[in-house]
Amino acid sequence: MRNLWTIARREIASYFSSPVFWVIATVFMAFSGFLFAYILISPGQQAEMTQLLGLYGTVMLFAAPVLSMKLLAEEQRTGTLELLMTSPIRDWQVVWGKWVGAVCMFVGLMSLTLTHVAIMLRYAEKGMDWGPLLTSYLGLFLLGSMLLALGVFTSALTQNQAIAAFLGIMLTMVLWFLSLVKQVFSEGSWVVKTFGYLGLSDHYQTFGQGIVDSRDVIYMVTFTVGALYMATRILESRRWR
Amino acid sequence: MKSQPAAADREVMIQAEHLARYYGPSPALRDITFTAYRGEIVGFLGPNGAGKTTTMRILTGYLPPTSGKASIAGYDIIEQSMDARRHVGYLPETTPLYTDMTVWSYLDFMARLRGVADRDEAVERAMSRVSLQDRADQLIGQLSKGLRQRVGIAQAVLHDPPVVILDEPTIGLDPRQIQDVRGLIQELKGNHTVIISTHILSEAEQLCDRVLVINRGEIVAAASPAELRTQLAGADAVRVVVPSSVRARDVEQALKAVDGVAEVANEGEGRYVVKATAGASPRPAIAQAVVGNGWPLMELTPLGMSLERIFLELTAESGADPDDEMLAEEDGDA
Repeated sequence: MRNLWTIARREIASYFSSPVFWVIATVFMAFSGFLFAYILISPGQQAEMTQLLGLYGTVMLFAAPVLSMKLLAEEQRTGTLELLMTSPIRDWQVVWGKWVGAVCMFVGLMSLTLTHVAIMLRYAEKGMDWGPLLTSYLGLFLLGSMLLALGVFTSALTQNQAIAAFLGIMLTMVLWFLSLVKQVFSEGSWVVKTFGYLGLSDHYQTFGQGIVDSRDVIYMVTFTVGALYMATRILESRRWR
Repeated sequence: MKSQPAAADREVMIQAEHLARYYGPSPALRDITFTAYRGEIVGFLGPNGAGKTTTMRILTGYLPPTSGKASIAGYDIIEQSMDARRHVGYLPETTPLYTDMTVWSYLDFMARLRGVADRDEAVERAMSRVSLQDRADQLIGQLSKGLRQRVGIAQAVLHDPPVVILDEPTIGLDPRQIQDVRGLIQELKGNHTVIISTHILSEAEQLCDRVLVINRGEIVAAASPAELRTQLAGADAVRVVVPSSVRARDVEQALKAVDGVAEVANEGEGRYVVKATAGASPRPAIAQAVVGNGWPLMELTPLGMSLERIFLELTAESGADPDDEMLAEEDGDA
């Protein structure tokens, strides 16, 4: 655990000195601030925070691969990975440490949206519906964790950050829209069912309805752990090539 | 000079047995076996692509060997990988550093990774060993290549490991920085077993107690620089110069009469090359013979083989590559 946290700490410090992080943070805050204001002032719209959080999830489809693109790709390019891999630390600790670092930054970024919640609270005359809000945040956290893990996986594949980000975005998009299979083919064959189940968007949307379905949680946690496991195996395979 | 302690109290720090490593079907290492003892500096000498880096990567646990085994400070590099790694400090050839960190935060990070107990003290000590105290808060990205190399060395000795492995530590530095780094390596001697790789012969000669000449993934010679020289040069040879007015026949006769002289060759102009029989060192006797005959001795030069020549000869011998042999012939003068 100590080793893992050492890696995560370095990663967090490195995010603060990286322009990429500040660009993402700025774009995200501008975008979310705009959406928040837009939804609040549109007449006839319900002032729903959950709807916003659902949108932030889709933003993460692009933001997460960019946040995670450097994690392993850059280490491989500069050769610092060789120092990590010859230090008394396990390969999986390197991978998980990097992921934890990225998740911490993501959580920090998302916590900025709590200001929106505070503003809502100030004007909500009948109080807030806390249940769906909490489940929405839980969904966003699980989604972000999973997307970042996928990003760590694509970052392990290449020395090039841009390629890592591109592959990551492709991967998250494909997963996200796999749900559409169900709508295109109405037939309930097992193929359609399987692909439909693998679709990410359906699993994410239930959180916004105030439902925590164990299937959705298991889906996201499985993908997270699976992606990090694959990333570790890829790093290990460098030793054997 | 370089006094070796008696074999009994020499502690084995690195033991490599028949290490081999294949990249696909092509061998990078065929068979590397050697032992390194506490406190000595061992040089891996060989042309680029000979297998020096691969050997180092195996010892540091970055690459597993295809076959063979090795241990660091008694810990098997595969079975007890974490323990073995704890006893090694390693600087890869490219000096990989995080350019966005300050010297201090980088060393602190590495100290954490190695589980150093008193990090502040270890970082301070490492920085002072490479004279970087006043650069603690500077970003590594802003340092010159020579200073970065020092950070790399500081990182390698941070946890005071018994074994320090430095891959081409002076490559790409200017002459002053090279002297700097060589000085640092010399200071490591005694406390640490140091392995350096180099293709610069004078560097191996200057720094190393023992040189392993590696070519095509095999050790083709292992000895101290001085031993290597005599081993290959066979016997001692000297050049004797007397005034050309002295009769050549008299000189040859006088020199041949000296005990331990095997052969005298006249090069003309009063210059003679005298080869001694193996093991003999008749230089003082030669000088006496010349002076005793009343001839002025103008020059008496030992003609040891340079390490350069030895290196080329060794690396050419072990392979049938005609390029190598040509290289050896071109570099004819010793």
